[in-house]
Amino acid sequence: MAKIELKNIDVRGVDVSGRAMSLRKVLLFKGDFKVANLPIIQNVDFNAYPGDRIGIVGRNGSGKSSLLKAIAGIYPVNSGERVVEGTIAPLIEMGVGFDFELSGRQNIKLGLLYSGRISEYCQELEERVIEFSELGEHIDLPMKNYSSGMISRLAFSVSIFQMPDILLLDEVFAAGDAGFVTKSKKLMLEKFTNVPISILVNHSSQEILELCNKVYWMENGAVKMVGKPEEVVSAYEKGIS
Amino acid sequence: MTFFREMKSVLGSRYLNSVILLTQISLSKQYRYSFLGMAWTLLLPTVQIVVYAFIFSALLKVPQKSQTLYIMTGILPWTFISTSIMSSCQSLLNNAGSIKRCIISKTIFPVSDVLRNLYLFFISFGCLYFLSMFMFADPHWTFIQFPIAILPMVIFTFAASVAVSFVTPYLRDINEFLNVFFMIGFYVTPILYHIDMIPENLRPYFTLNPMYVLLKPIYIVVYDQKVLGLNELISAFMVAGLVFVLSYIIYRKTRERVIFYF
Repeated sequence: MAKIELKNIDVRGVDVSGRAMSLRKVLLFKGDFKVANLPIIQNVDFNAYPGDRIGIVGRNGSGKSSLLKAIAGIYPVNSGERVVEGTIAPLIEMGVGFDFELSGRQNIKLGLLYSGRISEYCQELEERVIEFSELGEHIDLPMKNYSSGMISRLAFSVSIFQMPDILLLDEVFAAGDAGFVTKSKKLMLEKFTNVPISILVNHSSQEILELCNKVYWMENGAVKMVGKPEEVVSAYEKGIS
Repeated sequence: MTFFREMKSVLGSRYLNSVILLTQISLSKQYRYSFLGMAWTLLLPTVQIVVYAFIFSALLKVPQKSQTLYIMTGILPWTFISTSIMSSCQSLLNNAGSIKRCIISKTIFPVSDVLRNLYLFFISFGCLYFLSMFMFADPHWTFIQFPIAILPMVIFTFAASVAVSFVTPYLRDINEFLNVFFMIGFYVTPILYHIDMIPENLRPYFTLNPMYVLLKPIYIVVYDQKVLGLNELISAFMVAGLVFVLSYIIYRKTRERVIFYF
């Protein structure tokens, strides 16, 4: 069964700006080599079970994306307990790993590689991606010749054909022409409601209210409020206005 | 137990497919727009070997044919080791953006860089070996031991490259340090000159050089055309094993938090 249980977790980054100086001090016997820690997430409790559609709201830099990365295991946890069961698809950014020198077809493979799904590659999946992206014969051109809309279409199409246990969406919705946006949004929402656990980071309160049944409000790397979407979103909007 | 789980994952199809795809892409991009393409893989070491062989045989009065084969036997593996380890300095840093956004094994980047260099090593060594056999010496059955002879070097290079790729984000000076290390190493390791040319009182120090220990089985098989001795093979595997263990410890210590040092 898919589940996410984070108990009192802390994630601390590193301030690397003074690192070279610190090392010089050690070598000259003038001090010790200590790199300052930067708190990213502090004392966060977070639980999700099948059926949960969780929204995360918060200002820029409040720790929303970092929380997704901690759930996905991209960021290590310094203290606290992290239990995550089930396959995870972190859609933190579309088109990660794309190489613009290569053709769209080759980038489909790269996209699968970077989302940990290279073993799923087959002709059928490739055809589905090409068909959904509506790139047609352009698929064999180098991606550097693509318009930004075409890149976005391909990136979205590579990401969407998967059925994980846990879906993490970080403000990633398709761009492109109106027709493609409508069809991709429809498919994304279908995925969002069909996977056991979905988590959405979004600045749009409307989307959070429409899609989620539980909302976390993050501020300064900590959870400020958690509860029903209407209550949390309303408090958050009052808080930032 | 973690070690065995990790090794199982490294040998799994997902990991291997990822590494092979990255290697294929990197190879196809490397020479895509160059006129000579993959021929550069052969041309560069050939010029290097011919120049060194000519200079050294003229200066040291050694037979040119034997000197050419000797230099070829050492210089190509040395280039494989140094190029792999040097390129692995940037393996994680060049892919920082992807590593920060995907659930992906970080080791696939240095491993694919080494695999690319291993492929180029096989091509250049294979071609130059058959060319030199045609020109200077007769092929000998001892060459079938070649895969065993290079195994310690290959293990060493993969392990050291992974360790270097994980340490570089913490200590950015590693790149320059390795530059100096390989420059000095190239001259203190008997690659351009035969070990017998070194004064007898200094020879034990040269034979203890771990890089020479790694190259020794290759010299035995290719240059001396003899059967591999157990002592040389065990010594080479010990060096490779030690570096493997050290690299694994470094990897374990650095792998989680390396993401914050990009």
